Amino acid sequence: MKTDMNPSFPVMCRAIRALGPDIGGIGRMPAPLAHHASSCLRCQAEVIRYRRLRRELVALADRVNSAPPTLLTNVAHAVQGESAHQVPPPRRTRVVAQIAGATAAAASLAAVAMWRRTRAAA
Amino acid sequence: MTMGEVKPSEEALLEQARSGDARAFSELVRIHQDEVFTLATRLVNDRQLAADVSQEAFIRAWRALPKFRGDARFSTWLHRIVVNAAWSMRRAQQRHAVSPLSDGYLEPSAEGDDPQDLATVASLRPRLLSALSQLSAPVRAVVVLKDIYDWPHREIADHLGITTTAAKVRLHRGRKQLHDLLWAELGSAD
Repeated sequence: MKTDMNPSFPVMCRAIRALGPDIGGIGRMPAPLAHHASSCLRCQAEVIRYRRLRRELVALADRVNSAPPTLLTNVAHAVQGESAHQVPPPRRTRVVAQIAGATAAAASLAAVAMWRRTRAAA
Repeated sequence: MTMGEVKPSEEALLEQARSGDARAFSELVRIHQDEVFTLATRLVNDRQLAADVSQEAFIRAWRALPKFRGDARFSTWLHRIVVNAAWSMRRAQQRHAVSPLSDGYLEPSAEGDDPQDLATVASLRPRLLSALSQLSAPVRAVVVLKDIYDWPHREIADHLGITTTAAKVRLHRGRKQLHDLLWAELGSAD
């Protein structure tokens, strides 16, 4: 609907409609427009419509939709899966690491012992 | 939770979640899931996609939680993540889209309103929700964030990757379109 372009509307009505959402209130219009609007029911209705629109949009802030029941469980699973990567490695990994460490230490000791024996023999 | 057990405050839950407590974070999800889903629905106008956006937003929040310093409220911080997730997922879905996204704009009824306003609200709200769903996604996002969530223009612009001027232009256009959609069938009279 392009009522603001309607040529049958008086010039002032069209000027006020052209402001659209920037209408604000009659008190905030330029003086000639405010003077016209104060005596034009059509323009007063336009101002009221934009006010209602804004009020209704603000009122939507207090309305919430219920989230689907799967949301919480899906997020909980995903988050627990991710936190599993942050916890210490599983026991099997720790045992393998301990065995590897012990083997390396034993090999070092053996190498030192062989070196000493070779040196003593020389 | 047993009778008499004190529920931990949101701050306590945040502190626990920040140190890696997934159960504390799940409790935060339970508290905020409806508001997150509502914002996501309003942004993408599709329940299924909104559920995916909400899930993605919570997972991003979990990952980013160690960086959350508490400068803003947790819900405000969460809303920013929802907007970013909605925008990136919407773009991704657009690339692969084969059918329209909208399955209708779903909002709760007007029950519980002030009786004085009930008649007005009851007649206007369904039409307003329908009109919102008819706006293009970029215009709707600005109207939703500014007029419903009261975000500053600059923040809207930053999150949507547009200039502040473009955000203002979209807002003007969106409000005008809503006005025209709401009162079109009634002509110039109400």
